[in-house]
Amino acid sequence: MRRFGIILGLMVGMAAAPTSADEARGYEIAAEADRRAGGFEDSAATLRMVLRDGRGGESERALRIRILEGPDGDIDLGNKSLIVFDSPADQRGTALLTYGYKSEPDDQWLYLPALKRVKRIAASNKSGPFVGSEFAYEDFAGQELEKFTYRYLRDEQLDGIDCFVIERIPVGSDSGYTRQVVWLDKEEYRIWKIEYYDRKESLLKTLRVSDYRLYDEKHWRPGASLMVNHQTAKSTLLNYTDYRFGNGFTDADFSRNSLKRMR
Amino acid sequence: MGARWFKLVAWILAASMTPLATATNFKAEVGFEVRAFPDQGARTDEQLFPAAWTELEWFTSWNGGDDALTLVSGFWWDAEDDERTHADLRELSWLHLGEGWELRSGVRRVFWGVAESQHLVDIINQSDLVLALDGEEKLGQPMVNLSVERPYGIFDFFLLSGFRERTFPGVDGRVGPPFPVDGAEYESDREEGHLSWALRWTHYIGDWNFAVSHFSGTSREPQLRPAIALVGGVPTPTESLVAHYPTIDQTGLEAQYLAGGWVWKLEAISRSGFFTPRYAAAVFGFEFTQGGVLGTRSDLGWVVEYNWDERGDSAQNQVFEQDVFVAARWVANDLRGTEGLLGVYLDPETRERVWWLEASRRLNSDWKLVVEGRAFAGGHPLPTDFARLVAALSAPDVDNKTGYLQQDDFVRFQLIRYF
Repeated sequence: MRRFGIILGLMVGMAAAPTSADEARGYEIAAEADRRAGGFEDSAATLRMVLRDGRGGESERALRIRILEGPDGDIDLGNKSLIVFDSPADQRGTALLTYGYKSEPDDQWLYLPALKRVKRIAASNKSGPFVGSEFAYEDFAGQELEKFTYRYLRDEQLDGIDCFVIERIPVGSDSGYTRQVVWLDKEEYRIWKIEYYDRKESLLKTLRVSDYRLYDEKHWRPGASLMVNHQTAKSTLLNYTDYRFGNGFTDADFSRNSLKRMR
Repeated sequence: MGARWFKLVAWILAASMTPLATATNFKAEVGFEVRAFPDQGARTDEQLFPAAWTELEWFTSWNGGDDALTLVSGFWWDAEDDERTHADLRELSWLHLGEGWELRSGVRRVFWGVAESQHLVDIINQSDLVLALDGEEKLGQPMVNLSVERPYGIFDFFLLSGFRERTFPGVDGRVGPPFPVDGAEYESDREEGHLSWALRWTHYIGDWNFAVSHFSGTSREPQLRPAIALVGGVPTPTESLVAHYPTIDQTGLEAQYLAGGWVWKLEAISRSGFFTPRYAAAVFGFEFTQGGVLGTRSDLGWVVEYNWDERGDSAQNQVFEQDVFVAARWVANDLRGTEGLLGVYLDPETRERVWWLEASRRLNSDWKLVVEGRAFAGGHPLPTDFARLVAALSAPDVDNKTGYLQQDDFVRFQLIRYF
């Protein structure tokens, strides 16, 4: 997870040599987006999730996230992240620690405050819903450049913004998607829209990202993103606030002991 | 540090913390429960047990988070059982963070282990048995814990001062031993003042997680024996039990291996000083989880574990000496966090079975409903006649270890409000 959430988190690196011009161009766009999204060292943010079940039912989650960027240029180590839940109240204090890798499944630990139990969990079920939302685990984590292959599709305007449209195909068999179609603007390489196609090749979900703001004159971050599931009419709105950069986080702030300290 | 001291501090803190309820670093829960027993008990005819509780937690930190104070205090009230009505200081601890180490001092709770059917290795805290039969409710334990985190793992050192007696239901309470437990005896001359210590190393390599631990001190698990009174100079059993706490040494091993949707688990102990020669016990098995079963967004998990104890039939307190645990865990992944677990412990030799049901669902963001059920089958109720009951307790039937539980099937409804 090079950058939080829905943003491509990527890394200029060595992937398999593309075999066609469109593949090379798709990879270049993704790599440039990755390069621009990186270099933040660490960040923190507060998230509010609104889950809607499509029948009028609504539920909220509040969480805080901290990210430590992986060592620059490392061929395997990705970002470390720590997510702590403030609500729903029965989950308060539950924390999820993730060590991201570029070429293998992430390592994850879950802290259950009621039992004081730190539980290593399998990161392989990444297509499962994240805390009951329309976001899958893999929509948050596993966004490293190396976890997809790419193809340039076309140029297109989206809401008046000039965009590249690229396709990315998950590497490995444990993804819930066959492919994703991604809209990035030509000026800053920010993601505005992603379409997710399921294993039957039908459109499963659409993500719309909005309210980008520039922080510290170099980090573009979204204020909101909305994931809509077309097959169930359920949706999840994510609001990001309180972005902070340059927190001086170190590996010690993302240790297994740190899970128990999170409040 | 006696139980009275704990209760007093817990009471004072519960009372004095209430005005702080609006602070962000304060949280609280209030719960209501009813336990319903289809049968009358061996000791009491009562079949409905209403109860309520409150738990308060307060946290503050300073020095940029390098120092923190945590306080967790609870009070439980039971309409029928005086022993279940109790207060406890779960935590009152100071954390100091150094470079690669943490010092945690005060009353705390610590959990060790990976298995689901039995918490075999877990030994730092005493079980608050009146609240949970599965040992997942713990009394606060005074300690000093130095934790050092290195690239080759986390090393924890514990000095444990002040022993906490296990809680048991009172004369009018359920579910518990055939007689109420009244009083404790210790192997150590210093009794509950005996200082215990423990250490643990935990690390992970790839998909392997493991821990090695050692504990030396007063056993958290007691052996229950009929209390003896002198009647006309003759030692005579009475209608109560005494908890005997020996001084033990226990080495523990925890291992877990992740392979796709499979989680393989092992907990093993080697224990000496517990009335018998050194013995070993283990629980091992797997949990297999399928995501998105039958085209839904639900997860279905299968838990299979085998419980083994070297002492076999002579493991007096230990009902898990040769038992298989099989359970299905269902997680709906819905807005309300609906989930459930249905399992059974089965002794293949004696055919004794313990059914285990747990389910929960949020009603909204602040309220939650929890339903639990326990059913005991395959055993024979103990005799009700006093002399025969004492005889049965003095020479327990190894094929009827759950005999005293046979009338104690119950279902428990809990309604919890979070603040």
